Amino acid sequence: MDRIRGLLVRLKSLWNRSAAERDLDDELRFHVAMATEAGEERGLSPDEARHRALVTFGGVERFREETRDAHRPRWLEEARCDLAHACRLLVSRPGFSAAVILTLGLGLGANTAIFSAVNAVLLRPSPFADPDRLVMVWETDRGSGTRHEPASWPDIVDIGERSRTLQAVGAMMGRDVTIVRPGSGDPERVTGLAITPSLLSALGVHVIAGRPFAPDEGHGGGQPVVLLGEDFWRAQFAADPGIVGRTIVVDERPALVAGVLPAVADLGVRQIHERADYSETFGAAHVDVWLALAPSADSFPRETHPFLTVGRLAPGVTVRAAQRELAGIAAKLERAYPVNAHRGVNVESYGRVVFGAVRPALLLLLGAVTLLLLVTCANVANLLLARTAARAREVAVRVALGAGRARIGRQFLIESLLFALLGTAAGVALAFVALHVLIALAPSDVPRIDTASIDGRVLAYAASTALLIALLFAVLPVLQMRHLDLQHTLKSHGGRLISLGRSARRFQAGVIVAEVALTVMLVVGAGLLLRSLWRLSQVDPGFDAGRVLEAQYQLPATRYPVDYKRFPNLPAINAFHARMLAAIRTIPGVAAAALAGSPPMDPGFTNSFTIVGREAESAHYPEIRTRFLSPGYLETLGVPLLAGRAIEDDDDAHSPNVIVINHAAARRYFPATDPIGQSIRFWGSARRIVGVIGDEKFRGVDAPNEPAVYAPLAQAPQQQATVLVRATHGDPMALVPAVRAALRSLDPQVPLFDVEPLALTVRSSIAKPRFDAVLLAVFGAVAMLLAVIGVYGVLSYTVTERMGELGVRMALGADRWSVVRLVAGMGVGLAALGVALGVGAAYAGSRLLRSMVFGVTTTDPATFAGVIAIVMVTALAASVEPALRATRADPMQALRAES
Amino acid sequence: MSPANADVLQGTLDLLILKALSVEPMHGWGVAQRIQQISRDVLQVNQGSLYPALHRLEHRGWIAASWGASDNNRRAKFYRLTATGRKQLQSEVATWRRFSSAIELVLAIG
Repeated sequence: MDRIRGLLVRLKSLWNRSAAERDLDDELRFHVAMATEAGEERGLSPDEARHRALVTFGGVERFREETRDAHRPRWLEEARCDLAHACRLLVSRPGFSAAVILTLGLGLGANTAIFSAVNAVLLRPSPFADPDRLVMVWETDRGSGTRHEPASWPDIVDIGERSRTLQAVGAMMGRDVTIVRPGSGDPERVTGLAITPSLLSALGVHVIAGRPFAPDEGHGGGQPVVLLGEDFWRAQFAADPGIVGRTIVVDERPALVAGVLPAVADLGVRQIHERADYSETFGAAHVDVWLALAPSADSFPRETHPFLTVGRLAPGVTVRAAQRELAGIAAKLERAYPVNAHRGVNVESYGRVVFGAVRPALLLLLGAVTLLLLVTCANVANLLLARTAARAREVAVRVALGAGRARIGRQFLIESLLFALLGTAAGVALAFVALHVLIALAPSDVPRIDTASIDGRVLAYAASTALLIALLFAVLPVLQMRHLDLQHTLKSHGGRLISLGRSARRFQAGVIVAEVALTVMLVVGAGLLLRSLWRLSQVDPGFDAGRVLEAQYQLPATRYPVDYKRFPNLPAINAFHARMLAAIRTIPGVAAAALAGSPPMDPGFTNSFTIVGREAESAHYPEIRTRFLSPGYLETLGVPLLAGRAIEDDDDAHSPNVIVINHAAARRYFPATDPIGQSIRFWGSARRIVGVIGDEKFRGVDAPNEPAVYAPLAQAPQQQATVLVRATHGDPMALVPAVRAALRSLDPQVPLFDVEPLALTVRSSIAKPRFDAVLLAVFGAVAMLLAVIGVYGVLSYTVTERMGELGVRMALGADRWSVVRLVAGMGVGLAALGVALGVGAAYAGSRLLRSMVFGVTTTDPATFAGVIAIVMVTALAASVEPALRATRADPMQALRAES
Repeated sequence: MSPANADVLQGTLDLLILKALSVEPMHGWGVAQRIQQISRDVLQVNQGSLYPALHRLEHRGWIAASWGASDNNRRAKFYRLTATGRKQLQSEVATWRRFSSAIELVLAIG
């Protein structure tokens, strides 16, 4: 207890130096005053008494120093000296220091940037209450083998009512809408999500302004109600809380803004839509407007399956238990309703759906960047080793003067801590920049990547990594100095380099081998991803995207109603589309134009169908991709007509229903017969096949070709249409103003949206693999550069160190070539060993990439051979300069130095 | 260097300070005066050693310090013996007694 008090006094004096000093001054002043008083009592004059007192007291400064020594612990004083010494060393060798700090900064910076992405995407707490209890409830279809189908409304209601394992159930569907803000006349297309009010409570998210949807909201003809997404609210309404309670126009109807949901509330919405076997499209990163959805069995009968269903497990219930219970309920529904034939359920953890696709890629990047960090550490270790060797003299002198091993060790520790500190600062600065680039490059479907930032956790990660490295680096020179030969070192000439010990040299060689091995692993990974990226980019999407512009518009139901009794004879819609197409075709610079139901590369939707005359057999066929097109589609997109004829202007609402199928459908369903003239029945009517066209990719270029049918848009009218325009020359985006004007001239209330060159759409479809491959390639390139520097550094050092020996060799008759071979052989030998180890590790580890490659195996011999060649040639190149330098060893000088 | 091996002079000063403080808390000036008075001016305490010694003892936790008012109402730093200090005093007194009686013995016989 008293010891602790003593320690506290000491700490306080450290903390508050000036206060301690003041205390001491006060105390001494008191002493002098008392001595003066005592003198006066003995009859001295006040001046004389004070003078005597001061004289007796002696030098105040020396005295202070002694008392101060009692205050300040010795180790601290020494640490301060070590730090000052370390700073002086740092500044005295700016080139070396910069190399160490920048190398460390590079490794730590890349690592920190990737970790902050991992932190934001995977580690940050979920915005939902008890996220582990959230599940997706998919329907399955044993007929088609699909396991991630959206559910029908009556099924959701039945499951919700009967289930004991699910505590709450909510449903959502993506539904983009056109809104008009108050005070602005311009309609704009925004990303909407229609949800049941129960979804918010199932997820456990709360509004940040206003109120959530009431349980019965959206039912029976009341005023439509919406919630705004936080980002949209901030961007479009300047975060004005006054918008709550006002109305905005949604799809030409006034809707009440009830509240605002936080930006994080839509976590996973995009991934859920992508996971679904088919769904309304949801392309944006965030929900702009949340719409209250009040389905009924009338509006959404049991045979339609549009709802993405989220459930909350009751406390203590596992996903498996819920799956068992829900499968039982689904079996009862299957017996009760013929339309539920072959249907089951698939309960899947919400987290797996949202993060399942992105987790392996992120962890792979983190692994890669850790390899890179190890490579940078190896380089810095080698730099420090060489540096320590050069400082052997300094250490020897200090040991000779009585410095203990611990004291020397502490000196090195403080030096490496200083390096680590500066390296971390450089790394965090680099990470700050790199993170912005990373976010900009990242595919938009990585959940919450846009929230990545350098927060406390990231800083703690960077600091602890740096500390670990610093400790590692402090141990190295101490080990190295253990066998320091004092006599020899002190006797050797001042200017001469002191050679490393045998063990240190072996260690240095080991570091190079490890560095090359790690580099090989990284470059193999990068090579595999780059090769599969190249394969992906070579895949023919089935159409020619060059010079094609795509854009969409949506006709509002208010003025362009869909009356299913008269379907497909909907004159307002059909006439609008026809006039739009005609108007676009008259724009100068347009080579060809067409309308489609959904954009190329958009999965669109699927339908069940039967082949006329083969009903029994085809009843259990999987649903078929169903697409709509106008005449001109094939020539606009360059899709080949393989047999029969294309859709023509005559195929309208009044003529017999016709259809075109793709090659995959012809091969699968008509392997032996000519499909032309056969009929397919869906949507209640038989449609005669008139042509076969080439396969287009619908679900990404890496997906297999799927069977599809193409119906004339005029015989299956849609309110939403995709405009496809091929320019005669140049940038198709130049046509945008004219297309916009054409649309506005037909209906000024209909906005054009999702406008982009089709080539961009195709490129974006491989954004994720490109992101992974580019990042890994960058890491690989940096590792390679570092390995080159490492090999070069070690050889260069060895040559300098062995200059005398080499000179003697040459004096004894060795020719230049054999000296070159000696030095280069050393570099190549180390690299070869590293390559062998790296290839082995990469061969074993590349299996982790299996889910990320396309068109190559993870043990692709060409990639491995290429990497081996590149690394070996690079190592050879790094050895050339030191080897040539070695041949310049002067035999005479060497002999003189040795004498 | 552990306290037990401290050189004799310094060790003696520590002992005298601890002994002086065992009676009552006092300031540095008081300690010096007390030692001087009781030893009938034989032992003169050098201020240059006194204050470092006081601070050293404080850091070892044998004495504790606090600011208070002196008899003539000046602000002064008062030192008092802690429990550890009291034990230390006992053991130092015992050591000193052994030491001085040993010297006495040597002197008497020599």
